[in-house]
Amino acid sequence: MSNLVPVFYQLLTNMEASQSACGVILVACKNLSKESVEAIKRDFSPKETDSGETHFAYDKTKNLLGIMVEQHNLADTHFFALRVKDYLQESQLLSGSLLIASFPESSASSGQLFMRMMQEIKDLDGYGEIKIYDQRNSADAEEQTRILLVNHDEHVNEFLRIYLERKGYMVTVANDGMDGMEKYREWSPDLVITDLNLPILNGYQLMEKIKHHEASAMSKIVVLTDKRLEEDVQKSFALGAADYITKPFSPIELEARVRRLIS
Amino acid sequence: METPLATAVLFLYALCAVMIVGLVVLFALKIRNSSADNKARHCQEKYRDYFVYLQAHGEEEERLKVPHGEVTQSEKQIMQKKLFELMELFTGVHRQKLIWLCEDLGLIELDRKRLKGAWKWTRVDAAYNLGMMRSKEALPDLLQLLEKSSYDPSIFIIARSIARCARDTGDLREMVLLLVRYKKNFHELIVDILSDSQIDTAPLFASFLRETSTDLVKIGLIGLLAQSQSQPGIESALYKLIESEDKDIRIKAVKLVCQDVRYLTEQRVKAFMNHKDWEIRAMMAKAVGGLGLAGYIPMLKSAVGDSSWWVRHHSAYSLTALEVEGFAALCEILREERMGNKLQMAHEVIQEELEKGKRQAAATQDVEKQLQYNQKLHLYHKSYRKTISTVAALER
Repeated sequence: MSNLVPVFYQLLTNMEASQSACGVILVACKNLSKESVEAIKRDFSPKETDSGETHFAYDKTKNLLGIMVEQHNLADTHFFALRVKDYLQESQLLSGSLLIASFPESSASSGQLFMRMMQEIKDLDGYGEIKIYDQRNSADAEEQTRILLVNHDEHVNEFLRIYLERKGYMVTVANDGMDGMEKYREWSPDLVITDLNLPILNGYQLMEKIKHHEASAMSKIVVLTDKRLEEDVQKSFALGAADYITKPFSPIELEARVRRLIS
Repeated sequence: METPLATAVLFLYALCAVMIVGLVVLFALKIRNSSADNKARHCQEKYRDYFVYLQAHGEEEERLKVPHGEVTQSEKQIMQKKLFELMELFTGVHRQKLIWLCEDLGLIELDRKRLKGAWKWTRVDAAYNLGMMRSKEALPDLLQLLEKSSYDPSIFIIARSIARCARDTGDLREMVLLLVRYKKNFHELIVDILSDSQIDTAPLFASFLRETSTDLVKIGLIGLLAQSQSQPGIESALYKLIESEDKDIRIKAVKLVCQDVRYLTEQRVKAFMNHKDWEIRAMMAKAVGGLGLAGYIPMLKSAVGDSSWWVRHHSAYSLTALEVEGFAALCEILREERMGNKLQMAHEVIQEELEKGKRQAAATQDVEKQLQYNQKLHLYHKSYRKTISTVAALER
């Protein structure tokens, strides 16, 4: 039963040799019986993955269930993980979180990917969280670019946090200007993405305070707002903004601008 | 026989009954709202991971998948709200993928059915949703709905949806024609609605300039002015509009001409500076400074003495925009005039310009700017001395 590492290592090596894509899901489970594992295999294999074969392995010592789906990219693997999570939760077999990745999207080396995933799942807290494995996060956390998001719109914050984390940035969110300033002091981010309409301290006041902060020389400010008037653009640049983006925005363009500023 | 007391008691009973019915209705509404909120919260919690999936994979090539398992109608509508909130935020591939997802969830089909519903506000709500989802298939039905609508604010919701769903300029033209039939003065709003379209509207605005309907012409002019761009081939139509009997059209046409230096021949500038409408004279005076046409300094100098305050104002400020040469012309006015509006306007603007120059020269290390300020100050002192000496001579 404790064959997860050798089986998956072998499968992934074969995938790498044949240059095929595959998705990997690691799940922290309760103690699964042989019957439970068989039931999971039975319930998932035929209908959920038309495009490729699915492999299951269970490590009894670590209570880890591994699922590998052939010909799945990261998006497909993520979608498949939603079903896995729901199934295990309904069957009351889930004990922790899920870690997902895909080869070669998440890492060019399948062996390294799997070993790092095994390491990361051990440190993963929470229950029922689906975490996307990111090689950049695990490799050099200290070198990661830190971004502070200050926005009153929870949809913007939620989306940008997910999107920018997927791109390998470390993201912290603040909902108002005061909170933004506090997090700026604590965290000294490399880049601040702020709105102009903020409660307590507005965007201009926040930029003014950042400007006078001792660590301000290290941080770039990007304004993301729905204000389109020339005066707002002018005032923002005068207060030290490095870029000004209006909503609705293209996330791809935003990330490209962030990357340019940081480089 | 009924006594007044009995009537009062009856009235009180009736009042109590109405109050009870009102309270019951209020209570029912509160329960309904609270139940809808609970449903929405439950649905958001249920699909929390799914929404993370949507937001994490918005830029990959494949379509986003619909949630596994059965999604009820009410869940779909709650999901629709969240998807719309995200769609409002994005442009490009992220928005497009959410639109495809709405299609795959069957939301477009659902709203197309609701568009034919019995209740007016259901139809309007469906129109709004279809606009958000940029449904090209729904366009004929939306146009039909607009055609049948009576004049009230809902026509703008429907019109905006048509602009968002439009397949080509023909659809947009049809929508505009349906709106102008109300003969109301909301041309700017129509231009704003058209700006929601993904289609280039400049050729449509240009085509409106050749129409006989003043409403269409005004929309065309406002649209082209908003886009700050001139369209090829509009010159002849524009020159005709300058002579229009409608003052508003005349002014807007001249404003458009003044945006592009290619249209401004010497003859035309002269004609505009001597036009009977002060608005056109003022606009021309402002444009000369804005476009940096130093050749018209003598014309501006003379316009500082115009009968309209606005023409005097714009002429004087345009002269300051034409660097030292224009400023010198203003100083000449100080020397030449003894009293009157022309002298007063020139004096006010010179003072302001010198103040501004002084501030800028102090704030900057730019030698060019400091030099320019010194030159202007010298010109002013020269003309001021002469003015004083003239006054002194007259006094003597």
